[in-house]
Amino acid sequence: MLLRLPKIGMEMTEAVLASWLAEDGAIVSKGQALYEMETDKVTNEIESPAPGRLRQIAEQGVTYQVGDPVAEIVET
Amino acid sequence: MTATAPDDATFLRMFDTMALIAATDDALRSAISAGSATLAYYSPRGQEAVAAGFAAALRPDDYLVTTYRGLHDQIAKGVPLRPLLAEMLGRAAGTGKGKGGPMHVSWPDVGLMLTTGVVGSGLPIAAGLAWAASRQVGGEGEGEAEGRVTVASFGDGATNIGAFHEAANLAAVWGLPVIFLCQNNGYGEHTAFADHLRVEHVAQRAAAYGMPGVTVDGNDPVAVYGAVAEAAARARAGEGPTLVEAVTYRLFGHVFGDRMTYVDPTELEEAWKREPVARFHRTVVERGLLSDAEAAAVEENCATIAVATLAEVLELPEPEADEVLTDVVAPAAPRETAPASKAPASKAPASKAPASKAPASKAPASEGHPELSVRSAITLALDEALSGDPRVVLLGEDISDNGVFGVTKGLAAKHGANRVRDTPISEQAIVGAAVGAALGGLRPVAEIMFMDFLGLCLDQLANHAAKLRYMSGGLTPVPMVLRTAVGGGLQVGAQHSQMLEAWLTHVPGLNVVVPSTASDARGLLASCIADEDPCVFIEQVVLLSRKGAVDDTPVPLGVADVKRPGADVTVVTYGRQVHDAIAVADALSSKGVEVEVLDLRSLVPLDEAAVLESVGRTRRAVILHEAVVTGGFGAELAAGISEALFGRLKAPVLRVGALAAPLPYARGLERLALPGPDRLLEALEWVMAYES
Repeated sequence: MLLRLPKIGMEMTEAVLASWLAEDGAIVSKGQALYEMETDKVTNEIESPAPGRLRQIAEQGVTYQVGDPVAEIVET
Repeated sequence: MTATAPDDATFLRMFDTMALIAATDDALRSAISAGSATLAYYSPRGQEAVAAGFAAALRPDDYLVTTYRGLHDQIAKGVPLRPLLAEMLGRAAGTGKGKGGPMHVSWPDVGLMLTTGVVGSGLPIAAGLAWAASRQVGGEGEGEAEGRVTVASFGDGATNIGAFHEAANLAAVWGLPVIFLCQNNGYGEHTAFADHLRVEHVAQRAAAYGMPGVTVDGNDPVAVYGAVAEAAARARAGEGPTLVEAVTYRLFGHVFGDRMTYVDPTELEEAWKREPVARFHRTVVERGLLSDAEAAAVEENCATIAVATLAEVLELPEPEADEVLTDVVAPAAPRETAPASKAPASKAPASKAPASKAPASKAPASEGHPELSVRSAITLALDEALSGDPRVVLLGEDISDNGVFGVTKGLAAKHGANRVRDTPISEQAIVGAAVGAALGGLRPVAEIMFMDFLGLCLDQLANHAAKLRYMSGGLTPVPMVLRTAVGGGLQVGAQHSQMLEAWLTHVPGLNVVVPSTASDARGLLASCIADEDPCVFIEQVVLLSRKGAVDDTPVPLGVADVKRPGADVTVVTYGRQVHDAIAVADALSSKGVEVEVLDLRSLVPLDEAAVLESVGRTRRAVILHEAVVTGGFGAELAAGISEALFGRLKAPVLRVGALAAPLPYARGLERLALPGPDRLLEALEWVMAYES
């Protein structure tokens, strides 16, 4: 499952991937916090929508647009 | 009396409903996290038991009005998942063709008549639906909906808004079959209950309106079922409204992404321990209705359905581009109803201005009343509508006792106080109840005593009456009329005198009508009542005593009328200023200037073709209206004329209207502020003398 940068709230267009909260290659569970993203309004933890192995795509400290690929959850 | 304890089958149905709500919520939140769905999402997680409980206690044909945190209510009432999710994601297959969105789901098939994005605004509309349903009892109306109740679902935050209080009072005074169901989830947006109310329970507020108020555990569907079943039984028995407060909790905050930093973590932890789906899972197992594994299988099955439906919906197309202008108003009807003498081909409305249906047929009346005042002509139109169509009802302040200007004189005595119904002084409730009554199949004609009070009810008019057809993709039109008076010229001061038509013409979905003669007043009002969309009918009080011949020629909306022909310059006007324009035109005629006076009659739909035909011919235009010039409807007309006829005009288009001040009281000042014949004459002479 490809994870894209979500849109949180009405006016968000982009966010910085502030930090990864799970390691690349880690087995994650549904609902586990994967990464923290930061807009000029708020910082949000984004949870995994499914269980599986995390493959990180996005890089810490980089600004991404809503819809940009951030990670992949590979079924194990 | 309805049983207030659910049977085993109802237990299972409520569990299934709760599981489907939780599963759908989970699927949506997952899709948002994964970036595949982008919507502002107001999760109802934690409130499943309220929805499952109230819906199980209702009949399928009972009405529901809910609010933007409404997914649980919508699922529980039976809205199919596919069109529901498609609407939330803006797809053409959505309940509103993707034009309403997650905050605006309607599905009349299961009684869901409204989801509103405005806190509290659904309550007056629910009262109107309940009125419509109660009028259908006994066959005086359509007769098929005996004993139908209406549930208005809202949060604790909504109980601080005027609409709650006006609707609760109206419903109590009228004894309406409505259940006000407050889902007290602890927060109004980000403000905790204790910080926005000083009462311990919302239900205490019922005492202020003389209705029963009960507080139940909103995390227990059995408790909610019992309270709602009892309230429904009261309503069906004609015993009026009930306020039911279901105390629950909003587990994921206000909107997706809300970090709930304003919530004590211990409070949230405790709330999760009372989470209703797991709790009711244990209940159905303990009652021996399902084994633990069977209950888990129900939840698993719901998850499969929710995930699969959402995946399917994500692949569906968005609405086609041509949907952007459909469902604003009813599709244009064929024009054969327009009288040939009044509507030659050149005067047909512009294609984007929909033609309205002709007034409902009625007995010929011309020989009985050749000469009537505008007041009597309006009374006649109301009387004819009440006689000719059992769906027509009137509501407003003091209307059974003649009304403040005598316009509704005798109608209550003739048609009954239930059809010509007095209201409390509650403008929001009046207009909201009219919206609801229209949704429920009636043809309400509401009265707001003075147009200046529009601000008290503008949300109902502009956010609801005007938009509900569009936001539902055509499922919920609002055929209602709002009559309102304007006192300019009577020395009644700045709060009883304003022509505010420009506020209304700016809102797509509203028709706006201003008659100038008795015959037009009768014909236009009949057309408004027959129209499939909301119409505002503006009555200038100074005009009410003006007499004129009344004939039976229908006056469709969107057809202007040349009140005086002329070749040299056109005065585009409406309402009482038509008569000023004719007087000035007569005076100028002796000086060899022939002025054409074009009476628009309806501003929306606008007879653009008639304006352009006349000004195209005379090549000069002056616009005259009573309203303040700045930002007035005249600006729209001047722009339209300039855009279409720039090269043909011999002079700039001038506007004549009120000066930009609150209308003063003193006689001389009021006269100065309003646009009298002098200023029109001056403008006409300037335009005639203009040389480029």
